[in-house]
Amino acid sequence: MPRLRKFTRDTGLMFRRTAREATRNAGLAYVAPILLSLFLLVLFQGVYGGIADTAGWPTDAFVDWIAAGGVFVSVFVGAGYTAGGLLRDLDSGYLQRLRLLPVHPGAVLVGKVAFEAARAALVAAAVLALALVLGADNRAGVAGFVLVVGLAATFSFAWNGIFYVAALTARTHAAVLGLQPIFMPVIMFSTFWVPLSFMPGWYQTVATWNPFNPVLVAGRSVLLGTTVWPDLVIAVAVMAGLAGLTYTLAARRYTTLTTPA
Amino acid sequence: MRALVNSTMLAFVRQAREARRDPGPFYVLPMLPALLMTVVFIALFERIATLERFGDTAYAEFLVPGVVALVALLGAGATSSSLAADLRGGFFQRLRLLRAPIGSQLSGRLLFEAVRLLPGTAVVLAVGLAFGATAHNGLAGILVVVALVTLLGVAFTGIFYAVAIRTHDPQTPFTLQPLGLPLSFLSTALVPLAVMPEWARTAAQFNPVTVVVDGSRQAMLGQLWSAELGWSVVVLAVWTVLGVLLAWAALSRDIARS
Amino acid sequence: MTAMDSRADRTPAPADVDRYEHEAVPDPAIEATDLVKRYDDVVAVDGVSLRVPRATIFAYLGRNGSGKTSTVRMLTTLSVPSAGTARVAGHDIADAARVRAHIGVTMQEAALDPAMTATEHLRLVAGLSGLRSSAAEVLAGELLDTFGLADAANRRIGTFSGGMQRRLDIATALIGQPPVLFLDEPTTGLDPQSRRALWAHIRTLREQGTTVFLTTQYLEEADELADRVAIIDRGAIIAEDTPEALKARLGRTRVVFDHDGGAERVRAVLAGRDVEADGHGRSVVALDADPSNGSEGAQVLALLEQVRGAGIGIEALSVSAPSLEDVYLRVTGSAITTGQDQITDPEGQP
Repeated sequence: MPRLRKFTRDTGLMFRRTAREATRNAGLAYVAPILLSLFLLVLFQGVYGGIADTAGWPTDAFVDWIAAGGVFVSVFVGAGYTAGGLLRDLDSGYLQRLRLLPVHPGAVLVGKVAFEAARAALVAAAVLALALVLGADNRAGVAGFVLVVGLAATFSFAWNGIFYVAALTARTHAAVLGLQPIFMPVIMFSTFWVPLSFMPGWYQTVATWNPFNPVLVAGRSVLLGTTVWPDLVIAVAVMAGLAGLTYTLAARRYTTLTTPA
Repeated sequence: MRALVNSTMLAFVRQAREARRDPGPFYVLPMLPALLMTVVFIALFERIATLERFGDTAYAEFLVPGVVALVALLGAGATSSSLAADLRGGFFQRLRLLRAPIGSQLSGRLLFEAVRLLPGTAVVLAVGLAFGATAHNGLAGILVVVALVTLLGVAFTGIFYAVAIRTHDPQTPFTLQPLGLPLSFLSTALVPLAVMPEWARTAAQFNPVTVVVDGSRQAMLGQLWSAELGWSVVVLAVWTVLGVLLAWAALSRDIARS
Repeated sequence: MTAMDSRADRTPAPADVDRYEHEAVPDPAIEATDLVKRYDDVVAVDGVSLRVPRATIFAYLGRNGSGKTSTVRMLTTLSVPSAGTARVAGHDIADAARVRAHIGVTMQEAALDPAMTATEHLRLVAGLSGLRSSAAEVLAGELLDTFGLADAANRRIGTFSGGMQRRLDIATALIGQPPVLFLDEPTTGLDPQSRRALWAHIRTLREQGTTVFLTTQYLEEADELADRVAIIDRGAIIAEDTPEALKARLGRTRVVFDHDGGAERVRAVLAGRDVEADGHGRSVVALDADPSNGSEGAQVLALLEQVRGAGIGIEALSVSAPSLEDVYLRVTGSAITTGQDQITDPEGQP
């Protein structure tokens, strides 16, 4: 199937182009998400680490509980990076120019999305490694490490779908940037900091129904060596649903924008 | 002196008008982190007060007079952006040629920086009281807390002005905002020293925010006029002077280089 | 009575007037001696001396980077000279406060806050200049009238066209009725129509006794507007006089004619003269303004005789007067390039 081979090759080229761009922009693409996540882990350990000494706390140390959350924070903080890049390509006429070449425009989109997941994997691995240095548990060894990083990359793929839809619909950088903070309530109203049993009733309800929570619980259960398979299945379903919805919309918008009128 | 007062008022009014037209970045956004943290931390970390070393205050009571300082610390410097824009666009050159002392461009903005923190501070305190905080000293205590928070905002803004003047770029000062995180977390704003691990306790002891929130907490829960409050005022005064000197040095250098 | 008149007639209340008394501005209104400005190792201005007579328009002509703006910044007290002195409106520029009380300035970039309305802007600047708020309000209204901005008084400046922003900028500089006005490239980026309108305003100000120092990179502007022109190149003034004198001394009359002889033959016949083909079959001859060669008319006639004497028929003829462009080319050795000649500016577009 030569056409598929060509598409794969073009996608690879676009992936490499995006990666090169990110290397030149390493502060924003890699360093900032890693440092901010580390910063939050350290600060919360310093302030609320003591809560692990209260009756009923499920882990040895507070950091064991929040390490998985810290990994996902790095995904949230860096979100929209490649969607912003796609917008620049649209604005600068790069996509128009590409149309003159025998390149399927989809290769640009797929290449960028693939790089977004790869970047998230890299950043998540760094944050997880730092969390382990801070004393967090990883009872499942290398397999657990890989599984959590894979979960973060998959989640990054799904979560960034929102940013691609926003970028392609509103076509402004402000819209992409403006979506950034929506992760805050998503994290705050989950079991990011404390288990359900430590929450007041209304909070428990919100956290239980928070679609991000199963993803978080699954990741944490892997690190704590108590892998909760039902949560993992729900997590995968949530991410598949989000990705399916957002990328269907994004692809439709993208096709309209890159098809000659 | 009268010229300084008049021109400070003019600069203040201009800034206030800008904020009225675009209230988001001046009034709303800066208070959101503090507001969310108030609600979330009271709910989630309530049980930390069950630790013996925490003391015998309920967590909501302890937290609110401290977390309210985060309105000033996490939403700081909103007015530095328009200062940088003036410098970049050349408007500032024009202002230099007018009779009004150029320092009024800093003092007027600084004054507004204090005023714009009032609504956020009030909202956080109101929500905190609704979620279980108490005001042993009534309205007087609350007013003292509000005053401390606004002065903290003024003190912290000096460095934002210095960066705005150095860069002439309206965005760059905001890259300082994460500085507010360690300043507020590594202090007694959220938990008492006794609960922190050794390293965090050391950092908090040297953090001027600790002094300010201790004064604030005393005003709301203990003695209205306490030694802690006195120290808060001293620390805020020194901090403000240092901040203004920093900004003034940057401005003098900028003018000398032109 | 036009709005401009009413402003000139206005007798401000004592508190409105600046606290330095409005003593008569001496002549010359601006006098600079050996001004030098160095930035690190770059010498931006290298010994500039100039005199601007009272109530005249002085054009300071030069390309980007020639030292125009650096000179203006020193004369307006925005920067301190590395060497040299100057007096503006009778005051040493070292006495910044006094000089500032007597000058109005517009800078290259319009010094406006896009978030304010025109009225708010003028009232703020008037207030910071020491006017009471009631006086500031009246003055703002008058200035907006004068510069044709009354309809846009309550619109945000950010929605103004380039021409409107320039006019507001100049209106701002007129707060306090300064006897000396500095305009740094006031018409850069304006379309021809707005430019002409601005020229008219500047002439009116001169009629009212204001001394205007303007920098420009448009030769035509200097020619149209200025009583005196100085050309600055690489930080030094290389020519200064009235436009007429400069053109008479350094300009060249051009004779353009169609002929049936072929360019090479014309060139041969006129050997020793400055002859060029214009690419449309015409020849262009530049005549030096040298009195020893006789009057301009006599020179032209002599030239034509020479050509016809060689048996070449002349079919059409035009003679163009010398321009400042010749002068500029002659003294600097290269043409002025403004870099942004093609800027259109639809007036009043939000």
